[in-house]
Amino acid sequence: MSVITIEKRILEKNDEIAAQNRRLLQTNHTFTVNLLSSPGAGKTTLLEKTLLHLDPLHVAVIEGDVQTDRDAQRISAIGFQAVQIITQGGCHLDAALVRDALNSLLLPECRLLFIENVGNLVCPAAFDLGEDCKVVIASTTEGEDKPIKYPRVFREASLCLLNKIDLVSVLDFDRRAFYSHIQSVHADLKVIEISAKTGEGMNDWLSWIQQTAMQTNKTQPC
Amino acid sequence: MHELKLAREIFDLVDAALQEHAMKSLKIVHCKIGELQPLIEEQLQSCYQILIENTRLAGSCLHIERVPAQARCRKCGREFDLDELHLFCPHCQSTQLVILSGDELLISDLETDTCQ
Ligand SMILES: Nc1nc2c(ncn2[C@@H]2O[C@H](COP(=O)(O)OP(=O)(O)O)[C@@H](O)[C@H]2O)c(=O)[nH]1
Ligand SMILES: [Mg+2]
Ligand SMILES: [Zn+2]
Repeated sequence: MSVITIEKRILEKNDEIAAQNRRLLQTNHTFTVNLLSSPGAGKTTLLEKTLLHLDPLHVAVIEGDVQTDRDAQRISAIGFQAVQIITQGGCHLDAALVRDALNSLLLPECRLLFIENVGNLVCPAAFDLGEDCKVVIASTTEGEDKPIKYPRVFREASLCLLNKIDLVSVLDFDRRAFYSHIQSVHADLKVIEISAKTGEGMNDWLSWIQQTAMQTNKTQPC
Repeated sequence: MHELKLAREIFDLVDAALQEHAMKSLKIVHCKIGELQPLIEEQLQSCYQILIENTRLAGSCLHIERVPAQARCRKCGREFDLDELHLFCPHCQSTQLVILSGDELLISDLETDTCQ
């Protein structure tokens, strides 16, 4: 029997491509947000509503889905650059898929890029895409225990949007339990309560984007 | 199911290493996977077994060692076992922690039969 020590990171290839993506995005001063949630938490609807406040010349979207280009069509329909990645069964985006999508975007014009990841709170968290930050979207319809069921994505996120806040009373969503779960998995995580339906919380979310982009890229996104 | 993707990456890295070191009859691929990595070991094992059929990796298997999660408190400097559902220092309750281990996704060693 002989043993050879190799000490290789299993995701070494993904991490290298992610680093290339990050350099490309930084060179272009494109502030990039990776949006993560379970299916149906409202990523696409929130994006549509958010984009209405932003400039189509300087904002683009990469949509990740297992099947169909419906989400990219929804974004294009309101006049924004959108590229669809279809993972054909894959449960997450990876850096190589994002690199290909970046090739078909006009980055020099783009100050702000949203990447809507595949709806899944486990797998996408393992793959660096080259983004500046991760934003996790929880929604009141999913119950209050998502943070303790999927601690990793809540730990790695820079912001949590609690969407569908318009339904909070109908659903008996227990806000105190939700915040105490956030407290135990990532005490410093900022949470913005938001509704893609009524527009509640939209201004806080827009200012968070502006501020974080300024801190990251030293330029105003739009 | 990102286990399939991980199994593919392991396959490529091990295959390249076998070539590089001119190794034959691979037996065991030792992996170190941190406890903070949410993955199902059995799924990783079965994806790997399917991928290696009829390749030069055939007949080998994965040995997975789960690496415990540990952290250091930035405030009081103490080190402790990390519970990701209670992410604060058990001594001073500070939430300013440095994760020391538990995030690994590594191939550490390859083991072969020498009697060929
Ligand atoms: N009541 C309510 N419904 C919402 C809200 N945001 C999204 N939805 C609905 O939730 C469903 C899933 O939304 P979608 O954006 O496709 O989710 P995604 O899978 O995360 O992209 C749609 O029927 C939306 O109309 C919200 O803030 N309030
Ligand atoms: Mg969507
Ligand atoms: Zn402490």
